[in-house]
Amino acid sequence: MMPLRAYLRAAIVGLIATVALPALVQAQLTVSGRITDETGRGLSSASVLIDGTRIGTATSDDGTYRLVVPEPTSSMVLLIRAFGYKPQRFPLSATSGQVTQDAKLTRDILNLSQLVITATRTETERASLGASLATVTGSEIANAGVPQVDAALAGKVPGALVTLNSGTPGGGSSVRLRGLSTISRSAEPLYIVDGVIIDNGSSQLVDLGGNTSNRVADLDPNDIERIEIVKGAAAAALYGSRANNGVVQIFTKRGRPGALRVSVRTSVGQDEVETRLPVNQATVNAAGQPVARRFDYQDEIFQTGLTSNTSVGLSGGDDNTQFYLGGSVQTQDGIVRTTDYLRQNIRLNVDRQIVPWLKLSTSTAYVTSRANRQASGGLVNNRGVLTNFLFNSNDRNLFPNPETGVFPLGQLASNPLEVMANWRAPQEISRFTGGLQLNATPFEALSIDYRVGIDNYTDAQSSFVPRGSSAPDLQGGLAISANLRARLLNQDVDVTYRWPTMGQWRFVSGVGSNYQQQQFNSTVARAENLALLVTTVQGSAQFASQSIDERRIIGFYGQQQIAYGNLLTLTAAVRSDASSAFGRDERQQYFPKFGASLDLTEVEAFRNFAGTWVNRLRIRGGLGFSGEQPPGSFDRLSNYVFEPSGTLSGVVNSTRQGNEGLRPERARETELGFDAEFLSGRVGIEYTRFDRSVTDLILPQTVTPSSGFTEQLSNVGSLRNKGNEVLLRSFNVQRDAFSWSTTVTYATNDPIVTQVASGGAFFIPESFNIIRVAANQAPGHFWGTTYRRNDAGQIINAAGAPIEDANGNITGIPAIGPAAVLGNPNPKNYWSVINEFTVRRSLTLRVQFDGVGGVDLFNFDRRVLETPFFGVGAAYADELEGRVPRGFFAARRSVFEEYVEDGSFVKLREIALTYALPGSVTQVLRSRGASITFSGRNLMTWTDYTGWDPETNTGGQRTVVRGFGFAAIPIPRSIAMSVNLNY
Amino acid sequence: MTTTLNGPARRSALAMALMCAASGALLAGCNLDIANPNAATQENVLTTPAGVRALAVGLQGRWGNARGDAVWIPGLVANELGVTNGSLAPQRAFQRFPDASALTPLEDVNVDVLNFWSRHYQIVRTADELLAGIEGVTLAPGTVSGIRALAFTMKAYAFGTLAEAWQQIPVDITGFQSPFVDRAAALSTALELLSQARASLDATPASAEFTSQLLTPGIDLPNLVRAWQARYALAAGRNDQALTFANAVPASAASEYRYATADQSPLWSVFTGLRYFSAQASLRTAAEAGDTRVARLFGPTPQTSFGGSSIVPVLVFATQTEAISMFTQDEITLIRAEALARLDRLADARTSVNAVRVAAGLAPRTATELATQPALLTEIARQRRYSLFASGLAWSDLRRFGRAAEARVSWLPYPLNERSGNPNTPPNP
Repeated sequence: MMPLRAYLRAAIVGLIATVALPALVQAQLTVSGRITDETGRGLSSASVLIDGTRIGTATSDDGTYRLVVPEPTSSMVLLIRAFGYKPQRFPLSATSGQVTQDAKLTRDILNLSQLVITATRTETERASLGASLATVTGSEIANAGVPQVDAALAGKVPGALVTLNSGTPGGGSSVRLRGLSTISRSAEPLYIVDGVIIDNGSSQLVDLGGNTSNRVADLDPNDIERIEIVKGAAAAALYGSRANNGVVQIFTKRGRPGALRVSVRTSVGQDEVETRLPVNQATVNAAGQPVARRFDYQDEIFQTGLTSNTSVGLSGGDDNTQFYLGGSVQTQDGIVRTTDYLRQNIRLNVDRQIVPWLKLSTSTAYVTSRANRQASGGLVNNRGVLTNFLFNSNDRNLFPNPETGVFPLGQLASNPLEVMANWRAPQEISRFTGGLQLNATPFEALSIDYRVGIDNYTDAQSSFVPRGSSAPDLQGGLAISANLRARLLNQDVDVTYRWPTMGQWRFVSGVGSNYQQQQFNSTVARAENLALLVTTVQGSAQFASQSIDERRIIGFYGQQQIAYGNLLTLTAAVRSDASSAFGRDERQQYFPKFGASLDLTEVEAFRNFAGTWVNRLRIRGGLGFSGEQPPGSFDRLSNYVFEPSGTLSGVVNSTRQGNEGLRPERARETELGFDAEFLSGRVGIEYTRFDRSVTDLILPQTVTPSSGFTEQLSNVGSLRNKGNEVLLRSFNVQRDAFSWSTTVTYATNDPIVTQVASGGAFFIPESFNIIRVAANQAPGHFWGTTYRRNDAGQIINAAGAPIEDANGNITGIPAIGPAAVLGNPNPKNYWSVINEFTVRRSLTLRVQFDGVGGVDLFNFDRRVLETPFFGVGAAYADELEGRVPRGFFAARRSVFEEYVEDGSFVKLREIALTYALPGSVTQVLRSRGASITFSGRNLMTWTDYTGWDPETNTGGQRTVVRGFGFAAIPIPRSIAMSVNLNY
Repeated sequence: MTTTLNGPARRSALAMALMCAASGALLAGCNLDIANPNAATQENVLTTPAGVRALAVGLQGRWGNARGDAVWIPGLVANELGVTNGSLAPQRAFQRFPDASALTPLEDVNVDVLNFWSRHYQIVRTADELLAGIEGVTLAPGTVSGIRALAFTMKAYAFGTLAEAWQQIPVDITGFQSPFVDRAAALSTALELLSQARASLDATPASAEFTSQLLTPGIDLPNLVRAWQARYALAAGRNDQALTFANAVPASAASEYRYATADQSPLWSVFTGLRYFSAQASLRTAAEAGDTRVARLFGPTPQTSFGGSSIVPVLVFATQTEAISMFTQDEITLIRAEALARLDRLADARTSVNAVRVAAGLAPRTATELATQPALLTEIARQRRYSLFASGLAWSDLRRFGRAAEARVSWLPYPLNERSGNPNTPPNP
C-alpha cells in the first residue's frame, strides 16, 4: 500500500499535470486584430476574451491585441468588451494557426452591457438586473476637482442626493440614496472598497459646533477605477441588515500586463467664499447714540485658500503578475483663516495568477491626514468663529489692544478673532485598509471567491483653548484630547456555479457567507483650568472616559439566476443575518429579494411594432427586503450603571430597559422601471419608480415608570418613501471635428413618517427643539411658532391690527401665534444637467449644473443677525434708522416661521476645460499623452435663500438634523489648473 | 453562569454555529453574545455575589438621589418652601402663591411629577432585584440578612413617601401594568415590609461585612427600621404601634446619609448650587425668640419672590457632601408625643414635647398651656415644622393635623407616562 505522503505527492503532481500540461502538448491558436470605435480610432484597454473562459487579453493604446489560445476547440467565441461600448461576439472557426479579427464597437449610451457585481456578488451585465444599479467612472470622480470621493458623486447619479454639509477643509458630505430610511441611525450608505467594508463614521469626539468630517474623505479619488451604486433594497438585499441606505462599492485601479505605465497629475488652485452677508451699517446704536465705526468681520474671517494635489500612478506587470501603485498628496487651505488640510495616500494593488485556476489579488492602502479645524456652528458648542461673527455686535472693536496684545472678551461666547489667533482643533487620521482575495476556478463552471478585508484607523481629535481666552466661561482654558480606534474586519466566501445551458436557458447558482466584526474604542481626556503655558491635557480639573462598541454579524445567502437568451433574466435570493446587536429572541433575520428583467427588443413582434425608432426597450422590476442594525451594540441589554452611595461604589439598573426582542429596522421596497434607447442608440432613457416602506424603526419609547424603568429602545416606528428617478443621455452631435453630449438626471422622493412610539411627536436632541419627528409628517420637519394672523391672513399685532399699512410699510410689532409645522428639509426633487463638448478630439468642455428643489431651510443665521442684542445683520439697521418700529426685531425673533426659507438652489457645480496636447508637444515631453485642465467648482449659486450657502448643514452628517443653517462654513468656490502626463 | 435558551433562540444558535463554520470565521470568534465592556449587565449583577453586593450599595445611592424630590416637592406643596424665581416652570406649579394669578396648573405632564414617581419606583425595582438576586448567590448569613433588611426598608420608604403624595399607588410590581392600592393599604405594606426587615435582623444580626462594607457610613440600620416603623405607623393612625416602635429606638440613636464627592447631595444642588428653593419667610418671622433651630436653618434676609411670596434663604444643605438625617431623636420624641396625645395620655405627651422645646433652647410649656389634646397637637405640629424642616414630612403632617386644605393640592396627578402604559391608573384627583 502506498504511504499517505507519497500518495499525496502523486495526487498533487497529477493535479498540476492535468491543469498545466495540456497547454504544452496541444496546438495553439493565435488571434490578433484591432478594436476601434465608430470613427476608426483605436480603443485601448478593451478586453478580448474567449467567452466562458478566463483566456483573454487587453488592447494596447492603438487598439491592437494578440491573444494566444493554448487549447483551442471548435466552438469558441471571441468576446470583445470596452467600457462605454456594446460588446461584440465573433465565433472562431480555426483551431490552430493565426487568424485576424478586427472589430468596430458602437457606443452603449446607457452602459447596459457593463459588467457589475455589487447587486448579485457575481459578474452580471447591468441589463440582467431587475433593480437599478448606477455606475460612475473613476475619471468622472478624479475630474470633479474635489478631494472627497462622496462629494465628487454630486449630480452624477439619479436618486443619489449628495449634500456638502460643510465647506471646512477635509470634510463633511452626506449621501442619501432615495431619501431617508431611518431616524435614529446613520442614513449613509454602506461603503465597500475592493470587497473591504470600510467605516464612514462622522465621529464628533470633540464638539466643534456640529460640523464633522466623514471617513470616506480618506479615499484618494485618483485611485478609483469605477463606483457601483446600489440604491434600493431590491438590489441591496444581499447586504442584509446593513443595506437599508444602499451600498456604494468602489473599485480601485489595478495593473494590466504590459510595459510600465506612469501617470502624473498635478493641480493647483484656490478656494474662496462665494457669498458674504450684508452687515449693519447704521450710524446709531439702539440707545440712539452715534456709533464711531461698524466692522465687517467677514473680512478678517474669510480668506482665499490655496489648494494643490499631486498624484502619481504606476502600473504594469506580466501575464501572471500585475500591480498598481498610486500615491498622492492633497493640500487645502480653508476659506476660514487658520484652517487647512493635508492628506497623503498610498495604495498598492497586486494581482497574481498562482496557477491557472487560482488567482490572488490584494489591495492595500494607507492614508494619513491632518486637518486644522476651527469650531463653527453651534448646536451645543457656540464658541466657534462664524458663530461669534453673529454673536458680537459689529460696533464692538474685537481687534487686540495694540499695546498689550490682549483681545477683548466675546460679547456672548467668544471673540472670533481671538479664536482664530489662539485656539486650535486639529484632527489626525491614520488609516490602513487592506484586502486579500483568492479566486479559484477548479473547473470553468465553478468559481469560489474567498475574501478577507480589514479597515483599521485611528482618529485623533483635540481642542485647545488657552488660559485667558476670549470666552467668558473659559477663562481657565480648556484642552481636550480624544481618540477613536476603529477596527473592522469582514470575511466572505462566494461560490458560483454556472449550470450547463439547456438551449436558450442559462442557470447560475450562488451561495455565500459573510462575517463582519467591528470594534470602536473611544477615549476622551479633558482638562480645564490649564496649567500655565501648556497645550496638552493638564489642568486642575481633569476628566477622562472610555467606551467600546463591538458587534459581530454572520450572514449567509443563496441566490438563483435564470436567464432565457437575452430576453428574460430572473433572480431570486435570500440573505440571513445574525447580529450580536439583535435581541436574543430575534437573532436570525431573513431578507429575500426577487428581480426580473425583460428585453422587449428581443421579441420580434415588438421590433416590428417599434420600427427603427426604439432600438432597445428593457423593462425591469424588483422586490426586496433589507435591514438596518440597531444603533448601539449593547442596546439590547439591560445594563447596570455606576451608582455610588456615599463613599461606597455600587451599581443599579439603567433606567433604559434592555430589549431582547430588538430587531433590525426593515425596509420593503418595490421598484419598476425601463431602459430605452432611441434614434440609433443616440438617446437613452432610464426610468425607475420606487416605493419603500421601512418598518420596525428603532426609537426610544417611554415605558410605565412604576416598572422602575423610564424608556426602552423598541421597533416602534415606520416610514414610507416613494419616488422617481430619470436619467436621460443624448449624443447630440457626434462628428470627428465636434461632438456634444448631454446627460440629465432627475429624482423625486417624499418621505413621510407613518408611525412613531406612543406619545406621538418628539424633538431631536441638539436641534434647539426646532426639529421634530411626528406621525404623518416628514422626518425631521421644522416646528415652531408662527405669526399671528387675522382671517384675511394678514400678520397682526397683539391688538389684532395688521402690522403693515396700506403702503406696505411696517408700522406694528408682530404677535406670536401657535406652534405649527414650518417646513420640510427633505428635498422633494433634485437634478443635474451635464453637457460635454469636444472639439477635434483635443479640446473638451464639461459643464455640470446641480439643482435641489422643494426644500425648506431654517436660517438661524438670519435670526441671530437681526436679534437686537447683537444686530450684526443689515436688516437691523431698519429699526435703528426708524424704518420699522422700535421693538420689531425683538418680537420677530420669537416667530420661527419667519426664518424658515425656501432652500431650493441651482449651482454651477463643475466646469472643466481640458486640452489634450498635440503629438508634437507630447513627443518633446517623451510622453504617451498629456493634457491641461482648467476647472471650476461651485462657481455660481442661484437661490432665494438669504444665508451663506443653501447646501450646508450645521448638523453635519446627522440623519434628521438637516437644512439647519447656523454658522455653517459655506462651500467654497474653487478654481484649479491641472496638468496630466502619461508615460 | 448558565443561561437557558428558549426554542427559537436554541434553533438560531444552532443555525449560527453552522453558519460560523461555513463562513470560515477563523480570525475571530463567532459568539454573538458579546459582553458589554462599558457596563455590567443583568446576568452578571444578579447572579454573582459581587454583583449583589454592588447592587446593595447602589440601592442606597438611589435613595440618596431620590431625596431631592422627596424633600422639595412636599415642601412646596405644604407651604414650607418657595421657589426663588418665576422661570422655574415645572417647579413653581407645586407652590400656592398668595397672589392667585401666579398659580400655574399642576399637570400630569409635569416633568417633576414624573421624576418624583419614577425615582421612587427605581428604588422599588432595585430592592426587588436585590431580594430576588440574594436567593441565588452564596453570601455569609449575616450579609444575607442585612441585605434583605436593607431592601425591605428602602422599599418601605419608597411606598411610605409615595403614599403621602398620590391617592393610590402600585405596591405589587408586576411588569408594566401593576395594580393600584389606596394610601392605607400602601402604608400597611410599608409597615409589613419594615417588620420583615426587623424580623430578618432579629433572626440573624447583620454581619460585620455588611455593616462595614455595604452599609453607607452613617446609617444605623436596626434603629432606622424601628424609627421608620414609628413614622409610618403614626401616618397610618396606628398610635399604639407608633408609640411602641418609638420607644424601641434608643435615646442616643440617629441615622444619617453621608454624601461624598462622588455622590453629591441633590439637596445641595437645588437649594444651594442652583438656588431653586428657599424657605417660607413666615417660618422665621413666626418663630419664638431664642429658638436655636432658627439661626441654624434660615438666613436673616427676607427675599421677595414673585406671586406675593416672601422667602428666606435656607442655610442647611450648604455643601455637596453635607449629610442629611434619615431620622433624628427629635422626630422620635415628637412621634412619641403625638402618639401619646392622640392616645389621650396628655401629661406624658407634654413631657415629650417639652423635651424637644428645651433641646431647642425654649422654655417648657406649662400644664395649663398644654391642657387639652388640641393644644398639645398644635404645639407638636409647630415643633415638627422646625425640628423636621425640609425632611419631606410637612405634607404628611398637614394631613394628620387636619390642615390638608392648606396644601397646594390634595394629591398629585398621576404621571402621564404611567397612564399611557398602565390601564390600572386611577383618574386624576
